[in-house]
Amino acid sequence: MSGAELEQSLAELGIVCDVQENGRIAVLSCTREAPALSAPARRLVAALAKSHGFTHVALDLGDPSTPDPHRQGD
Amino acid sequence: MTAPAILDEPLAALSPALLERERALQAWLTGHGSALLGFSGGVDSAYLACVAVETLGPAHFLAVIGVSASYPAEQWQTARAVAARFDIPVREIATDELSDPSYAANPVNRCYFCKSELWSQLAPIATAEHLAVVIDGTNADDLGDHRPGARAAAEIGVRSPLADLGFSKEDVRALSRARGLATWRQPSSPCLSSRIPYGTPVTTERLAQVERAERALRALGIAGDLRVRHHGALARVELSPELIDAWLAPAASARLRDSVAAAGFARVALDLRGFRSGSLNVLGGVVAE
Repeated sequence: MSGAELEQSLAELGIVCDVQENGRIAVLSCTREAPALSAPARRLVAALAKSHGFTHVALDLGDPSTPDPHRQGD
Repeated sequence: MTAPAILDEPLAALSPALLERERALQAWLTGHGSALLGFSGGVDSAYLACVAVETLGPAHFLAVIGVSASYPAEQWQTARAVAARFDIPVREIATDELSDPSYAANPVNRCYFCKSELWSQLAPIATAEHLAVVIDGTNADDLGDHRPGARAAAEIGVRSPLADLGFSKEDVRALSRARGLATWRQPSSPCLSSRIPYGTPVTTERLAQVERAERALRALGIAGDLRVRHHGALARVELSPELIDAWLAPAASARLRDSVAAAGFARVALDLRGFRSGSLNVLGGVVAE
């Protein structure tokens, strides 16, 4: 399982994202404008992630724009 | 006998096979004479409760709701509403599976400890009320899943008439619809602990985070299958696949993200494959994809 290799495979498809490994979940963080991920594109991304050993792939939706009232101490 | 209050579709519209299956269920219940049902308000137990009270009568049937931190409040309200509408005798008891360290540690057989707690409370009630059999709403489709809770039920002697008589989930939905049960199109709703990956301890705070987040997403109008999976600071949202396009649009995704973040998550991610039943079983390596 390699987030870096998945990141490279995605870049070759024009999907430029950082890939963070969270166990067997690949979390995609797109630093530029979010890619257009149509259903076929999502299937392709999921297949690529699977080929790199991930069981799940998710798109990070970015920084929350509202404060979190339930977080404590920070 | 208690008739369903409203039928939105005549029973005759059902296939002969489905009607025969329901008659077999009625015969099964009649053969036992009385029953106590572990009642969650989900699709299966709501249907079973309606048939049971109609067949056995309210003096010979009791539906029991086990209330705990892992039981979604919306589900509880549904259970109460179904009971009220269909004159189902119901009792509520508190269960406290979280106080069991074996459960709270969240092993892959977590459900075993939860169901042990539930059934060990329900069996004495059945004895005290002179009810012949304890039943649950497991259906035939459930039998292929990873269900360690089934072992706890078997140990207590709980019976599963829907599964034994071959009712599929689709059968239960069709028969529920014919009875005017609003639960016919309700998504499956397992307990909130199913959102927490195996090995991550189940706590009341984590359960509350998940419940707040899912309630917020429902308030945005998200219908159908929905899960907020708890990965520490990260919430991973699983939606019905046909909804993903709409919620990936920039304005929509920001609303989704902010709603979930407000429930207590630092990061929010949308699963690109969408809802998968048993998703965390795959993640935990319990079942193959």
